[in-house]
Formats: sequence, C-alpha cells, structure tokens
Amino acid sequence: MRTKTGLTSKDKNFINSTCRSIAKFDKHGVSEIALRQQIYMLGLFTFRQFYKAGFPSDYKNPSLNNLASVSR
Amino acid sequence: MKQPIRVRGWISTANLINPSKLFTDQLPRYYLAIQAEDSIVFDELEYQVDRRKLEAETPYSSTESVADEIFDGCEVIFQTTIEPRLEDGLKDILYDDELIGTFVQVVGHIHILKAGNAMFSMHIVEPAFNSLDGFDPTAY
Repeated sequence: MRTKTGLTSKDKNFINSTCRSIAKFDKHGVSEIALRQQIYMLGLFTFRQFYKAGFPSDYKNPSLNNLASVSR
Repeated sequence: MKQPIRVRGWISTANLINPSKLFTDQLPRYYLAIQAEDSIVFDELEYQVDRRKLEAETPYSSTESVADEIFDGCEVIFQTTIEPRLEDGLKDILYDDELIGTFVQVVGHIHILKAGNAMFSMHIVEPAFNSLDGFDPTAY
C-alpha cells in the first residue's frame, strides 16, 4: 500500500547529499546568510517532500494549505 | 536551435583550473557540481531534458535506458571537454578548491548522447549575486 506521508529513499539521498554539501561550504567559509538560506531550503524540501507536496513555486510560502488534500 | 540553460547555485566540486585527464593523449574533462539556489530547478531541468529527449528520439533510438549524468544527489552536474569561460573574479582563481562555496551562474546546454542519456555542458561560469534575492529566514 502506498503511504501518504513520509520520505522516500530518493528524498533521503537528496537530504544526506545536501547536508554534506552545506558542511563543505561551511568548512570553506561561505557567508552566514548563504548558510541560513541553504539550511532553510533543506528544511523546506524535507517538510514538503514528507507530505508529497513537491517544491513550492514560491520558496517563501512553505504552507501546505493550498494543496487539495493533505494527510497529517 | 538549442536553448541555453542557466543555473545559479553554490559550487561544491570544481575541476575547471585543473581538469581531470586519465591519459596524456586524452581530452581534458572540465567538471563542475553546484548546489542549486532553489530546488525547483530540478523539476524545470528534468522537464527540459524530457522535452529534448522527445525531440531527439528517432525510430532507431536505443530501447535500453542509460542513466542521465545531470544530477548527483543535491548537485547539478556540468561536464565538457572544451574549456569553459570563467568571468570576472573567477579568472584570477588559481586552485579549484578556492571555487568551493562560490555563488555562480552557469550557462550551458542539454546534450542527448547516442545512448539516449542526457548531460549538461557548460560554456560560461560567472559570479552571481544576491542569492534567493537576499532572503534571510531569520530576519523579521
């Protein structure tokens, strides 16, 4: 049976890869605002993917409320 | 005519100053991996790749599927054997590691290879500014 929520192995791979990438940027002295942006986008991706909502067209609007039906 | 693609993001791996070369008689391989500014770019690029594949399809196209070489985890991958043009401050970089974490715009093309898989080439790598329009998630 297909689950309505949860991360797939592809999502997890993407999240792991992003974490490694951000840590690499941190080590190489990327700016603090860039780090905050990257971590925000990672959180946004994780949250939206958990609810199979896809990435929003406007990253500043993370809400799930515009989706027809969301299993919470 | 092939439409160029433009992707903005932070460089995570670069072989632009010292391209890899397995054998001395082989063409150099310039490689760039960037973490895209906005993950929506993955959907947009996948859509464009699928469209290009449909255009490139012939009755003789291979039925075996070969994996695309366009993403690796969270990274967008660009590869080419022709030296890409580095613009502005990037021209003065001496070592590839100095490029890591730099926010850039890459201009390239989608290529559908004979086996039917896709790859991105790059022609211009230039510094970019104002990532996510300066959005700061902690600002209030």
